[in-house]
Amino acid sequence: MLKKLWLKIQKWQQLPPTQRGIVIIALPVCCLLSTVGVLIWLSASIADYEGWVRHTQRVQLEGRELLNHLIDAETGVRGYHLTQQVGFLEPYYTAAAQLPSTLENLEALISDNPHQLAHFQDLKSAVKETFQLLAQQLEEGLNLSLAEAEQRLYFYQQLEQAKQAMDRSRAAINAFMSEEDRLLVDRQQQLEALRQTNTVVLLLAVVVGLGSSGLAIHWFRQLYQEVDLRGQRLEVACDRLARFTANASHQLRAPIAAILSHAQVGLLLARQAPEQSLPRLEKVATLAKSMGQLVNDLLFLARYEGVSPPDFATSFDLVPLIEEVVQEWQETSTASHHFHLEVPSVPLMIKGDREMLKQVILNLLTNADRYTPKGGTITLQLNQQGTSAVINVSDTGMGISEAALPHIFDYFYRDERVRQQGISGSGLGLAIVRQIVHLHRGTVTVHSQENQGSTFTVKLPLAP
Amino acid sequence: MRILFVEDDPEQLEPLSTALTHVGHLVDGVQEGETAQWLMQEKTYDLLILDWMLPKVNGLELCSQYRQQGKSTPILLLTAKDTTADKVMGLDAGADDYLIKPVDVMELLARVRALGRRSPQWLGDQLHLQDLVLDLPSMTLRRGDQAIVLSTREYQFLEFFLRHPGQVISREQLELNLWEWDNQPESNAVSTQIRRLRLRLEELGCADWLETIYGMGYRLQANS
Repeated sequence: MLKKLWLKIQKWQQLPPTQRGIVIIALPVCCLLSTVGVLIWLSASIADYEGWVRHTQRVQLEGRELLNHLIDAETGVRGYHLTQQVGFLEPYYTAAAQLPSTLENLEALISDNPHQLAHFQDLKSAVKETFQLLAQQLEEGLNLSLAEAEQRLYFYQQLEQAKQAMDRSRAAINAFMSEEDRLLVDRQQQLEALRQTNTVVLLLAVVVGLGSSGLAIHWFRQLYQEVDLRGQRLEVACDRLARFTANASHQLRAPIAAILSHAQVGLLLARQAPEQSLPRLEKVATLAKSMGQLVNDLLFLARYEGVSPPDFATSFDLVPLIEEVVQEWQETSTASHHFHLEVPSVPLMIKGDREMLKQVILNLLTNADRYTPKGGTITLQLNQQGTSAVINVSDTGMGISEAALPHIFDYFYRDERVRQQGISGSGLGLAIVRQIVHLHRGTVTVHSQENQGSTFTVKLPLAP
Repeated sequence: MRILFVEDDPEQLEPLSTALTHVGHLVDGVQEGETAQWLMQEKTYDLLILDWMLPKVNGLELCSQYRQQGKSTPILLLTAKDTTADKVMGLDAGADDYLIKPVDVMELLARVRALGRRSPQWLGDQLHLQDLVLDLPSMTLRRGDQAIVLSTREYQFLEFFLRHPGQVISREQLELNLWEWDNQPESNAVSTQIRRLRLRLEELGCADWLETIYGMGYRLQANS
């Protein structure tokens, strides 16, 4: 699970900055848009449900109105019957006049609810029946002239009839109303639920919005840091290139300038001072030779620049090779140093190119020789560490300054201190060492303290 | 001309100094910036030739320091740095000319001549004293229809006198102006050179123009 997440994060980081930038910008915008959409939909739903609730309340109002009409009508008729006062009939007439419109309103209001419509049909017939009965009673009552005892009996029967009709009507209205009540409660509950949902969605949107903004800020910072890092790397590369061209132009042009000057001055003075020609020609020859060596070194570096390590066919013992190089070096070296050589008594087999590795050791010894004053000590140790052969070349010389350490393997790099002391050198020796060691899948490292000495360590994998 | 030449590589300094000396200039050759700084303070030069990449104090710093001191002697930068940005930097630091190594000796000499013409003490390619004419590029001395070619040393002495006509010049002044800074002259070196120069002037019949003023020094003056 964690591994999958890690892979995803890595995938994300490998995306080009443009795509990541688009995602970073789109994330909060998408959150905002979806929040707004959800909120609009919720508001519409809430408004919808509020409409329904109001609608139900109106139905209830109309229902109560109907009930009032009924009661008014019945009370009026009953009062009239009891008192024979026509004044009592006024509410009845009013109710009878308003009844059809009330019924129509109700029918229109509940036309969307078939269940309620069925109820309503019952209610309508019951109410109409009641009114008809009341109207009939009134009609009869107005035209009646019976004996009092009979009248009473008759009225009693009439009242009983009306009461039954009233009860039916009431029951129908109650059934209808209780259904509406249930609907109202139902709709109010739904409305409440929607409102709660709305609040929850709002809170969620705030949390998601803040989260996504946070994430976007985090990603953006990450992106910025990456771009910044790339910029820094570029700067370092540019600096390195600038240093290289400056150093290279100096190191390459100096011998050419010297050759040209010597040759031209020799020509200039050929007549007046012919004795000067000989030393100048010797200088030209020496300088041309060192120039040739410089060109060879450069060509070697160019040839193997960025080349992946080849599979060397031959393997050989490193011990006699080192002894051989040391012997050659001691024959040519003019400096007076104490020299120690420590080699193991067992062979250390290496797959590689003998001449190249000789060059590595020779360059390291030449450097130790060059930067160690008279009477200093140079030590060459060869030993085995696990599956590697380790060559240590240490001296007690001038050492390398902290500032120069990162650059000593650069092409043509020469430390300011070395230049000041007028120590000769092309600045390519260590670059060649590093390149050859890399071709042999090895590593080269350096430990140095200024004015204490330096130790170069070359690790080479042993032949399997 | 008196030239300060600063170059850390002796293999370049030696032949170029020899060439400059050969055409009659007096060259102080220095291999590092600190000595050069001291010499620029102490002595007066007609031209400075500076290498850019020097140990300790580089040529560019020398150049701007010299200009900040308000000195207007022409400066020629001689360097392996060849980018436009480098040239702009060099010229902005106060150099008058910029040559990229490897430099052709003939071109260097021509540039030095050209910069010499800008020197405040420059009096054209010929120095005159009445009917005596010293042609600088060819080191030839003429009077009427006679002409002789002077040696480098004779030429340097005569040039100095011709630049200060009628002035009494002490032995110390001659030693200071006509010997390299690291080259102490023998006690009788000045009088030897004066004697040689008189011999040459005699060929043109004006040996008595160069007088010895006892206890003071020497003076070159035309005797009509």
